[in-house]
Amino acid sequence: MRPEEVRDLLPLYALGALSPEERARVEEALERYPELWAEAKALMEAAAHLAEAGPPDPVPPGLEARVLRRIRALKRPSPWPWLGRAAAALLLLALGYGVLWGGGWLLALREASTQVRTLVSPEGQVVGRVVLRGDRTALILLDRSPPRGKVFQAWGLDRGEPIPLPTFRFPIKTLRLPPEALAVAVSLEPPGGSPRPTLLLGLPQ
Amino acid sequence: MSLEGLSDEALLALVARGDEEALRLLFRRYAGAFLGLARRMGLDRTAQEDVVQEAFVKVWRSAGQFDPRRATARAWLLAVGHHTAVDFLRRLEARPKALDPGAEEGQEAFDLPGPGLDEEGHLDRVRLGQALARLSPEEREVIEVLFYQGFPHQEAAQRLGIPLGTLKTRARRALLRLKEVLREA
Repeated sequence: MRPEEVRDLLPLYALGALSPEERARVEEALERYPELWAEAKALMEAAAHLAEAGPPDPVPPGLEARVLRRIRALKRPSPWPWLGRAAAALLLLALGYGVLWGGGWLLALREASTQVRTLVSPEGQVVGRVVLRGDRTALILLDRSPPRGKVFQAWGLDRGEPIPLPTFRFPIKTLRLPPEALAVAVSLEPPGGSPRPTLLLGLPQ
Repeated sequence: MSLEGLSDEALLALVARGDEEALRLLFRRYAGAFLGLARRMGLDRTAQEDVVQEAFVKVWRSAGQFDPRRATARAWLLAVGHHTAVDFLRRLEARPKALDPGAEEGQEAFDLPGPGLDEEGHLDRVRLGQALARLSPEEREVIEVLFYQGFPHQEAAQRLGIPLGTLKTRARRALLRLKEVLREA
């Protein structure tokens, strides 16, 4: 759908005059055309006034409980009954691997060449640590997950521009630093990462 | 931590992460408005309650799609409620009595019901009533047929005996005019 076609449909979209399929197409197209967001927002706002034209009705007793019951029923049922055995096997494998992997980093702490740096946010809050081994491999440990729609991105710091390194979603990440990087920083970025940091999360102290 | 003081936007973000308490608070803020809207659109009591249930299931499922750059949380939530009521109306083919836009009762159909429990909400409704009164009869008619009677655009144009392009133009003009008048008020 071209931007002018979407724009043409925006008043009908705001007034709920499209079919569910047309509505979904407009919503999908809107994601691609940020230049239409301000207009969509203004029309939606006007339509919202129409939706509240009458006074709210009293909510009958029991309706809230019925809604919450439906929501709970939607929550994903546990896969354990049939996945139990497979999951247990995978967990054991993961634990074994974790012990070996974690043990390697633990032993690296004995080496004089290994550095541990604290990552601090621009507001001065500790957000994690980086263990940097002499062979230039680094282990990043953060105290949080990225917000929805964002990923972490590591940056190699030297005396010039930050060097973009891999993105990651989990609060733990190992990577190898390029030779020129002296330290590691972490930022929050859109998925896929950025050539320059957008929102710095942690700088080495 | 109590979530009571959080904005609708913050509650929606929590709902997107699966927070049931946040959904409960949104229900308390909007269920009455959804019921009132469904009643205004001609649905009976049972269908009104079904609309509320369905709408909150949609909110639960699609809260992650809410983007504050494209709508306020209030407008987004009311649109979910309205779209759900429209879908019900089309399925049931139950619609309120059509307006005769030229007649007195056409004007009356936009007269707003008496004050609710909240004075601020009542004042907002009075302002909206005044704003609607400043639309042309043709623009009000388009709002009535599309928004409150829930007709899809092609069918609405046919019923009103106007080309689709004219319907779109009137719908755009009516919404922009409403927004403008409400901002002035």
